[in-house]
Amino acid sequence: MNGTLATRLSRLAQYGLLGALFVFLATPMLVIVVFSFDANRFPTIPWGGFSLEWHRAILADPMIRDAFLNSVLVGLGTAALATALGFAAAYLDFRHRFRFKLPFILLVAVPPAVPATILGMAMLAFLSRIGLFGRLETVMACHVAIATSFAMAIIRLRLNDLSRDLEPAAWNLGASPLSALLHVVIPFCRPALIASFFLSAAVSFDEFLIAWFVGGVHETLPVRILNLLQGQVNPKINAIGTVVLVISVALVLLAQRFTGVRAGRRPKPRSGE
Amino acid sequence: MPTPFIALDKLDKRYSDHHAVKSIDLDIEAGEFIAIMGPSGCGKSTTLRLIAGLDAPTGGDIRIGGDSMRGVPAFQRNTPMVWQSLALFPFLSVVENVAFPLRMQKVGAARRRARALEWLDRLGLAGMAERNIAQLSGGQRQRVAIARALVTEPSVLLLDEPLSALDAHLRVRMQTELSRLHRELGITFVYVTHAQSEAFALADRIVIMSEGRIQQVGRPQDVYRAPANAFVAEFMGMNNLVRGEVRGGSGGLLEIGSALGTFQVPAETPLPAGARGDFVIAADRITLARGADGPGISGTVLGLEFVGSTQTVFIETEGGAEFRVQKQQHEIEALDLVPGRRVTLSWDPRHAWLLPQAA
Repeated sequence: MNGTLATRLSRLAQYGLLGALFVFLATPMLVIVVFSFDANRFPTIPWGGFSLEWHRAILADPMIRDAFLNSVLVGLGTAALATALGFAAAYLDFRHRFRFKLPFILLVAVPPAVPATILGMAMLAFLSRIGLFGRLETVMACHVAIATSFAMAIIRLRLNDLSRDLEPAAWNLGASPLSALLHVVIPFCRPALIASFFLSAAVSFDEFLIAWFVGGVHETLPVRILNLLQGQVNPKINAIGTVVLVISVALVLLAQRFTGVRAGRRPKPRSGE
Repeated sequence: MPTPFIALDKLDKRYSDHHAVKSIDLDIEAGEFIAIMGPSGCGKSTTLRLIAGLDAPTGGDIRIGGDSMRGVPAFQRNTPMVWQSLALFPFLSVVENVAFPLRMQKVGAARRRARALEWLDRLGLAGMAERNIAQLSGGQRQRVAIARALVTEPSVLLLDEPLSALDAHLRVRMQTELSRLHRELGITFVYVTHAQSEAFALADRIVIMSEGRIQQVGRPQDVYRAPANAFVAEFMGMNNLVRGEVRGGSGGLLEIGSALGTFQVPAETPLPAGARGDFVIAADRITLARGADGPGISGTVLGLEFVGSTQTVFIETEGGAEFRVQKQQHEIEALDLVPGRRVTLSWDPRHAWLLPQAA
């Protein structure tokens, strides 16, 4: 059977390629995780035995603890603000017609497309001029600018599925515009709001360049990692890397869980009014 | 005369790209079942949205129970509507959907649940209370939408093509249901539809709209038998329109000349010779005879179409006009009507209806 053999080989090749790709992507991360539990001071083969020494060491390091706390604060703040602003922008786009709507949406959407170096430098220049340089809130504000774009994208996708009649139906049944927003639009968007919360948190938690530019003495975890790296090769880095990896992956998985993008469902075409 | 329950007073709605409702006047009595009909784009749905306050009029006023609705937002009108799309809240259960208007009125949780359950029971949905909307059939969703609109016990119910998404069998059942509810509740129903059968089956009065204007208001049989103008006559379907000119007349009968010949048409007021004399003759009032040499208009059968127990016969006259004639099955058989057969059409002059002159 010629065909079967060819099909099998082709399938084998496809799986092989896919496997190789995953190995290529995952190996560096895996190496970090493995060596974070290595008793050796330097990540070398052979493996020096299982140890929690480096994980304990990062817990004991006050600078790392501070950086971690900063990252959590900035991440949570960014998540809450970006979700709120992203919802506001998406809702504005959904409910109202106004001049300059397209430029407005582009303005919200564009920050992630700008190279982070340029964004970071621009923000540094701007913020130091208005005297807001070097505060934790500043880092948060910059992260919000980036994450809002993702939040709006996710929430807009969800609002696209909201029947145009649903909100007017709520008004018709006695809901004031505010009640309709609280009781109809927000419950409808809940999965998207949760998803954008976790995704915004992940964006903020991973972001290095801007935090490094504008944070001043307030280090977030990625900034602390770089500063450690500049000093010497420190085995604590592997341990921090493992923690960051676990948190980031968890946040993204949580976000995925709530985006609710189901296969085979097309968004309804917008009905003309 | 008592003040009407809902009064539209020179109501006007202009959008940037078209004039949807052109200064219409309409009085709706309390407890009336009124149907607004017309082809799509005639302004019937816009009129309903204006009554509900979902759109703001660009002219005129709406009074409900004597009070002007100018500046009253939709959520303070208590004019619940059953939407064509149903607009049920997908993230709420059946009972939560029905209780929604009560929740907006700050009715306590236990009480609103009890009342919602009562309405579900009334619409034959007992036992469905905790289901998701997605688990219901089309007919059940329809009932949920109606229960949700009625739960606050409003004095008016607006319905925007509520049955158009249902299949024919369910549609008839829901018509019966709506009729029963209207009788039991005694409130005003304003029903927008493009389906003549629904309007005729349900409404006390029907309003025919076209291009943003009201063409005629009246009881269904009156609108059917005595259309106000050619548009209504054609919209009602089973009418044959003959365009002609008044030649003279006496004793309540006008003599009208047309391309098809001269006809006698009753008229309440005499018209001068030369005036327009368009008239209609209903499809079920025409007598058919075999052969082309009797008195009347001769023509050729083009084809036949089943409409329930009757058939519609399409006939082309010598003058090239097309007539529709409605006949029982046995009459068709007796006359052996097949396409190509020559026939003669005639009718009792008393059944012709002269279209009132357009103002």
